[in-house]
Amino acid sequence: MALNELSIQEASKGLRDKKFSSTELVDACFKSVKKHEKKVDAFLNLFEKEAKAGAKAADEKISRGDKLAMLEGIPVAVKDNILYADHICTAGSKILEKYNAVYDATVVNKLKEAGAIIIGKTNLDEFAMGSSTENSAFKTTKNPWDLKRVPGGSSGGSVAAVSADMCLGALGSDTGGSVRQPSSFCSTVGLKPTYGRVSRYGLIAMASSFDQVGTVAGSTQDAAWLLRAIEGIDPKDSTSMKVEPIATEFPDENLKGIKVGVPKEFFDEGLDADVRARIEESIKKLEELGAKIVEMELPHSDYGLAVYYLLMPSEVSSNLARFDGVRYGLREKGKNLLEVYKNTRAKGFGPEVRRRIMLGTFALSAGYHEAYYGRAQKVRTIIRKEFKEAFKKVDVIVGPTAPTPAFKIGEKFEDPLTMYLSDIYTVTANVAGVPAISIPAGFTKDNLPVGLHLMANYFDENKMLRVANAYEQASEWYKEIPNL
Amino acid sequence: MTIDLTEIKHLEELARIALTDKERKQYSKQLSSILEYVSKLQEVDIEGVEPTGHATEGENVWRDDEVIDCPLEEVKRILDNAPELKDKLIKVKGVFK
Repeated sequence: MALNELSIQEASKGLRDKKFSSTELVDACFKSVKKHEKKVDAFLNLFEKEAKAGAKAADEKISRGDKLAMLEGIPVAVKDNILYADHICTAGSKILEKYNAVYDATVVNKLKEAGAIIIGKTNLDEFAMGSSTENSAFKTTKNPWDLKRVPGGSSGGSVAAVSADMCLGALGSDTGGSVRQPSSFCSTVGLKPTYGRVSRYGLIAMASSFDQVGTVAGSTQDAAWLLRAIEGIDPKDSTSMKVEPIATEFPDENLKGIKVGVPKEFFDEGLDADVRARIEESIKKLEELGAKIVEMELPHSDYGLAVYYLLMPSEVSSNLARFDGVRYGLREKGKNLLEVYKNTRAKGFGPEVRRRIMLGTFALSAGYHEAYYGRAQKVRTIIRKEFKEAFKKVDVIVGPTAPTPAFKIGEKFEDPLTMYLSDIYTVTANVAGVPAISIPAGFTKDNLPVGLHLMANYFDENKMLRVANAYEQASEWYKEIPNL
Repeated sequence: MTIDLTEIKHLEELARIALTDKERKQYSKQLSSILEYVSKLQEVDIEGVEPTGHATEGENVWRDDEVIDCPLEEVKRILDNAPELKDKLIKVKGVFK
């Protein structure tokens, strides 16, 4: 097995046992980049020289016998809406095409402290708005399993980079499913923590009450390991919280005593037949592992997408007001200040970003605020309550991550509402704020990956990860890699 | 609920985005169809329900009102990112004219 195909755990052990060096590991990743990046387009920026210097420093630490941090010498990638000081951070947008990050996001700082080597910044839908990476102002990332198809989004670059073994793990962000839906499309593990587990400081804000940094890796254990490195309360994000740390070992593959809820709403007519079959098989597998399957109802989950597509654009319209051509980013000319604003934002933002700003502006505008924004906030309360009640009866809730496998590039681009429907199963976790994960669950007839989605109670990631890991070890779908 | 061209022009002003006629027509159609979808929220009984403004139930977080220094290299990066500078100040079109 090539070094870049190792798991983070295996690579860490190999480095510590001096079976290979971090330099060799980083070289193997760049070899894969050179071979595949032209086809996949996962990255917006690569830092080969820096990464090699970082690997050399890690190797020196290892040979000196210094104490090693948890990700020492491990090559990772970071989504390009997360600030990495003195590196360009575009958020996939023309408006920030030349923006040089002023400071490190807390998660980047933590990656550095953990000894990780950042090899590049990955492509995304502009400001993380999209489900396919087609909304990036720079390029469309391709799905390593079928280059004619999208990798999903918005963290499509991070997921494709991990899927094509160009790095061992990556950070993404998840506002409505942006690490989980692409993970489902590309057969990787995408983990969205409970809102508040990870600091959002330095993550370019999209919808602040939904945004969380998430991790992407080849296995549940690796995704958990990455999360362990970046989690924790941060004085710079007052919504971050001090909580029980993430477990990094899951020795128990027996799921006796675990109650798995299966909501009937997640299996309605919009679900692809092959995806449905794989998910039903996965549920059977969980039962074989000892879990008790509980059929249940989440009647208001049906409204999750509608709540999301009102509250998220409202927050977007407010958060993106700062991009006005005054202090940083693109500035277009105009006769007066108002024209400078309007021209800058017309030229700098792509169609989807403008669409969401317009929609959010509408939902917050005088006369409509209560009927749209206000009502959606109240339905959000009902959905949260429903989840809290549900987790009194079950330990995890499972279903498909996405209603279909990866779709073709261009297929849904012209029709925003159809594109939005790809988030239908993932958004409720963000609306409620609970943790969720997508793990590989097999393939369709056309050899396209399918993802199993698990959600758990607030800050109960460890139980969710235990179930995910047990399924993974028993099914071994996570071991499949694309034939690029 | 449909969003007609008059409403689109009003939103353009509020959102500070200049649109072309073609975009106005397109957004009018697309936003109307999204609003039609989200109108299903009208079915939900929200009588007596409190709104959720945030995903955590945290309380106010306080800190002392102390100045935290900004390193010079950060100051330099901030200024280097500005579209136009005059000395060490960011140059903008006049607000009152």
